[in-house]
Amino acid sequence: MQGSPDYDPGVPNEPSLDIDVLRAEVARLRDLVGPDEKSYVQLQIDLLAARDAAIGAEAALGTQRGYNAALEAEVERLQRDFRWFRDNVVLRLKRMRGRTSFVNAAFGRR
Amino acid sequence: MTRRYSIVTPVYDPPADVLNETIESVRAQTYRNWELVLVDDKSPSPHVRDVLREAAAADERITVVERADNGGIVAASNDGLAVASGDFVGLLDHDDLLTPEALAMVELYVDLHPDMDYCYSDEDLLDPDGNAVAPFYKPDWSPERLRSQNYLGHFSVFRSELLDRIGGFRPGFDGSQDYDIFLRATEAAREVVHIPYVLYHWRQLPTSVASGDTSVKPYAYVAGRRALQEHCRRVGIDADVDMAEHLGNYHVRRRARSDATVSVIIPTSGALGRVWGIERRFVIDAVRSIVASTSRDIEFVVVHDPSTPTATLDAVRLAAGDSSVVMLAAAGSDAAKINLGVVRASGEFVLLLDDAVEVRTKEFLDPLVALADTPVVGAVGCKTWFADGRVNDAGHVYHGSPNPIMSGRASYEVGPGGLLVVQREVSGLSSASMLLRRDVFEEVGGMHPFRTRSYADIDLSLKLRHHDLDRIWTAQVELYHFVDRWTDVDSATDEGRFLVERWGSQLAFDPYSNPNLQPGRGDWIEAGLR
Repeated sequence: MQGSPDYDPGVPNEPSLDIDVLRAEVARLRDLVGPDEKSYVQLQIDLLAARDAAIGAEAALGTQRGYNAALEAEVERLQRDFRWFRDNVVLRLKRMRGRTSFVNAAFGRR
Repeated sequence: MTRRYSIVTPVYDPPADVLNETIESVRAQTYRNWELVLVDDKSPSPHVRDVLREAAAADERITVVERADNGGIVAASNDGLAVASGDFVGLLDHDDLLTPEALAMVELYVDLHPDMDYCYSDEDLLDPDGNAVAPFYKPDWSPERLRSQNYLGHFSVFRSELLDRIGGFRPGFDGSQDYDIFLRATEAAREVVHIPYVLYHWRQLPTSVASGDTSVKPYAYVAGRRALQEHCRRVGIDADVDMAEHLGNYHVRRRARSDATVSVIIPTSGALGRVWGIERRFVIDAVRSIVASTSRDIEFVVVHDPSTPTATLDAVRLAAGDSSVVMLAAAGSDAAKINLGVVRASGEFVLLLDDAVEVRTKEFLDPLVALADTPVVGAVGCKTWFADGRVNDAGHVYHGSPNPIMSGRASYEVGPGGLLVVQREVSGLSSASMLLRRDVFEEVGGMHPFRTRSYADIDLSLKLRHHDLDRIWTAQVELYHFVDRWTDVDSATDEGRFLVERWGSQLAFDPYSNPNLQPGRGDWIEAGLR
């Protein structure tokens, strides 16, 4: 910038009170050295988006887990019904085997 | 002299076989002293009159009223009531089936409950092939639930004097005339009794509400909402009534007093955890979330372990914004910390809150405050979710052993009988989010300082029950609860034994569950074969 009318290396710079100039300088320096407030805001937005994605993914998993829980309950119920049927019908019939023709027929005997 | 039961059945154009089966189900009653009043609301099909006349000719206990014009179900039902001469009157739809022992069972319960003015029973559905499916095992008398849905059903029995007093069915409520009369009857009844047996089968005809097609009778829901709004006015509930997302259910939205003051009591150890991939200091986010979900001035009372970092406490103050914050350092169980917090609280209401929560609904406090601001209500709790969107807790059930209701179920489930979406009485609530009037908390002596928090919740809930104070659970308010603090009661431990010895039979039978459900579970599985 030598030769520019605005630049006089012979005169020390006075601290500027112009806030816009200061902000611009801060922005320039932050661009040079790394994340600034804008980057921080962007990171926050990214973080929230990631959080939403995580909530969505976990919710999908939760739906599956909940569905499994309902199926497990249904299986337990069916197993219990089966046990009841086995204990109260099948085993009783087996004990009666040979006593009546009806039961013999049910078990394929003559 | 045995009591006489009148069954009143308005009839409008059912298929002949269906009507015959209904009539035969009454004739098959093992209890003999009954009359059946069939009111033909000028059915267009000639077979209806033939069936009714044949039935009346075959059994002198059957009376047929033939209306000159079609007046609708209210007019027909009132015509039936005018003719009924029994000590008790039962209502039965023209396509329902009574079980043979229905009236005998009602008679037994009248003997057991001399002040009984009204009773209802469990029910199931008959599919088109005639199979009994989908049993609905109902809770004992649950007025808040009735304000959320007409769970009482078709076959209800009224003492005749009660019907005389309340004046029968009201015109203008067609489609929900039964809901309206149930609301008025239960307001006036000395005792409402639930008979935990399936005493009738509700037939799934294509045109019946039981078919599940909610477009069949949309006018019924509008009338139901009006009946409920009028009920709220009669009993002094300042509320708006909305139809819920699931038709047939309603939201009674009470208005909370604007001058009600609330203290939020949070016991914490300042724990750190990872939720949805992000690390969080639970207590800070809990406070932030409560502040964001209410416009009320609230007070936070944070009772923290002495070792909680100062930076965490500073962050809590910052998160509380303009709300006042009381910080107390104390060692001990969460329950002990809550007791200490309530002593220092200045609010009229105290919200007991776990630190690992995040509010899901827009307005969190007002619906809870409005519900708790009633003399008969001891505590109010809300629907909580795991981080993955499954139901964490929908209240407690103490049926055989204490359990969280429908925990682990998917977010889309409404539960049996709408359990997960209707506001209702429950036996117990979790202190992950429980709101009480401070004077109630003090009256019952606060929480017993169990080390296991769920034990302290059970104990507090049963103390409220012992003081005849209702515990209400609502689905209108929701929050995430990131920690599963439920611990099964283990009577091999000192604490578990103490809890069981203190409450004994109170843990065995839950009035808001049902004897037909399997004990020791919170998922409403039937106890016997379907």
